[in-house]
Amino acid sequence: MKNILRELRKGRGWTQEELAVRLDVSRQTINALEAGRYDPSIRLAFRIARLFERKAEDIFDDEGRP
Amino acid sequence: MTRPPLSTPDAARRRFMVIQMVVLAAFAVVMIATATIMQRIDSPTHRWLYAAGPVAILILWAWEFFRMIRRDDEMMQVIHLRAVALSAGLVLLAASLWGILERLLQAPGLPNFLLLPAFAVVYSVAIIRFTSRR
Repeated sequence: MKNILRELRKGRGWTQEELAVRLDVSRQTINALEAGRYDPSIRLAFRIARLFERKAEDIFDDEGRP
Repeated sequence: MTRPPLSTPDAARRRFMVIQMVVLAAFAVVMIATATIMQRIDSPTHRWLYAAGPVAILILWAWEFFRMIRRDDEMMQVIHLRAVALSAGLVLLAASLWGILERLLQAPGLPNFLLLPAFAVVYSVAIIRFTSRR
């Protein structure tokens, strides 16, 4: 699933480790999310949306997937 | 430059890796020591008490292992389960193949107490390989 997590993180000046601490997930999870290799659960997607004060659908784009 | 603190899952995994190395080293030492001591002990009660040492160490390892998985995050739990499935499958396959050789060709008996440490080693390699791609 495509997303703009990397852009949002860099916009705040955070490293992957700093974002991992804020979301209480591992750094590997942040890396996989940013690379589009892992689709987050609904709960994690909402946590990310709240952290960046955006709607989840503004951050994640599942267009082209069934 | 100071590094940021680790997230709870990262810290839990690092803690487990240290504990695993210490516990497996302790298991090897206690196992050898117990086997040596056992040769000089006749009392069945004392033999059971000494045998409880290495057993307790492996139970501690299993406890820490599942605690670490429970503390990890959603993606890492999936990776852990894949590594557990792969390691258990490989160790089971190797033990079964060896069992066939034992049965049919009178190959030397496989020391069963090595199965869990073997699982731990294969699991560690699998988890490093799975997470290095992340």
